[in-house]
Amino acid sequence: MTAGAEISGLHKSYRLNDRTVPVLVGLDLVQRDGITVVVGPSGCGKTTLLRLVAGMERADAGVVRVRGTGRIGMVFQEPRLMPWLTAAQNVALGQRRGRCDTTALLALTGLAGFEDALPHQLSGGMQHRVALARALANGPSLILMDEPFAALDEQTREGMQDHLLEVQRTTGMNVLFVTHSLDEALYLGDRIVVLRGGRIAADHTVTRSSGRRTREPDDALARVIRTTTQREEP
Amino acid sequence: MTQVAEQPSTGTRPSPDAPRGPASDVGTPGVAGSARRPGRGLRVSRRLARTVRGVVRRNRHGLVVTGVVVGAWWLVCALRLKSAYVLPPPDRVWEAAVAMTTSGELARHVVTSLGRVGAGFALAFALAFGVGVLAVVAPRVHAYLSPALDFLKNVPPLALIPLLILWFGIGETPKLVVIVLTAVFPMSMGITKGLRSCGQDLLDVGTSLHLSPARTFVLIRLPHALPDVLVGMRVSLGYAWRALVGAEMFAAAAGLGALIVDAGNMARSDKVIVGVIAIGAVGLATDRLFARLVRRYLRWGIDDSWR
Repeated sequence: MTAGAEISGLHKSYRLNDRTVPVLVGLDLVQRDGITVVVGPSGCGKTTLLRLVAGMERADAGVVRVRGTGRIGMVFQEPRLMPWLTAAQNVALGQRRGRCDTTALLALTGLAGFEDALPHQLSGGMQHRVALARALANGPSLILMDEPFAALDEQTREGMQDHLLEVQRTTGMNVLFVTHSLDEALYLGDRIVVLRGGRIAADHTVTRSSGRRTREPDDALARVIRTTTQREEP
Repeated sequence: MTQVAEQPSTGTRPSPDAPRGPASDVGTPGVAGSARRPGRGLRVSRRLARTVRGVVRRNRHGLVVTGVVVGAWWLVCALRLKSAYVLPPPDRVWEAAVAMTTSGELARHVVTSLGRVGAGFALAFALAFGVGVLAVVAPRVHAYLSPALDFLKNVPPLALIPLLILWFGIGETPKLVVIVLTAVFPMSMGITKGLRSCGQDLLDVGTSLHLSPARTFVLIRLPHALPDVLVGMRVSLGYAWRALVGAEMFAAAAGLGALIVDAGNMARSDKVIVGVIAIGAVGLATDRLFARLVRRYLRWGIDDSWR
């Protein structure tokens, strides 16, 4: 059986002043192997979905199950590194001593030789690589990524996207990737899920005719997804 | 090295026993260097002189002010603006300090006071840390305690001395209580603020790594709070020294506060000034040592204010 998240009937709402604001209303999603990208505009519940899968919040109703080892790694929008720890110590944070090869993980994310660097000595892209290595440290069967490259400049972002694809190929991990960028979704996703009105509005499997990823958007698919996302705009 | 290589070779090397005048130094730097190598004693004294020069250079601004104050003090005494009974001249205070140092009296008082400040400071830290932990682990319990703590914070510990003597007698306990009551509040504020200010973004990392609440506290919340904790500790260390005279005012046989009180009772203003300078100097030394240790071992959250 493949690893990944299996979500059914997920409900979540928040209290805002005296009103209840529904965010997810009966969301169903069975993840397949590879990179599943959840796309949608800001405030559509993408981050809430990831926080529920990660166990950071409790759902009002519904079931989230993670197949495989059940271990989850998470990469946030900001690197969120502990500023008092070196890169290697950040990667090993919370892991049992000797159970995590920080040198290998940092090498995997392209940071060999930076084990002793403190976060403030690293560039934004490098800090994100450390965050990715930290998420990989406990050998997860699923990595959750919450718009991890949104704050990076275009050149660094494209580099990080390629790097993620390489790490995913090497480790075979499943990724649930959230973004508001359609271009990013089209480049990274093996499957693109559009979130609208608190549930899945569209579900596309990406087939690449040449078998290669390209930064030239697949116009037909982009048009379909754009139409789906735009319908929710007021 | 290049210069040596470019020297025209004379083909002969001077014998170590040969007399070395200034002329023999020219063109043979290696030999001249070894000939000039000073003895061990001289090297140590040069190093010491270099250290003293460094200390003077680093503290030159403070030394200027000290010089001005001592000069003004000397002038007031020389012009007899104040009697020697009220303000003894600097040389008499110096003589008293030398006599107290050579007899071991000053050291005895300093050691006693250091012990009291150390014990009071440690106890205050334990209490302040407990309050800080309570504020994040059991905020409701902390909310019950908070008004009482704020009330106590505003009561000067010296005002409690008559009661403390009644409750605890005249032994070590009331002295410790005064130091603890003085030192605990700045430290507790620093620790509580530091522990509370750890953002949810970092705590979420702990959740994403499946850390238990205890491990999240030890691995994330506590290290994050360390700069605030240390600022509170540094402020409290100064407060502990300031409370010392009050703590040692009643029935203390030794300690810098007792020294000052006894000297005052015997109208020995020179010894009072020695005691005051000793408290300030030891307090300054412990403060600088603390800041130095923090700068050396803490790699984060430390800026230029930690001097």
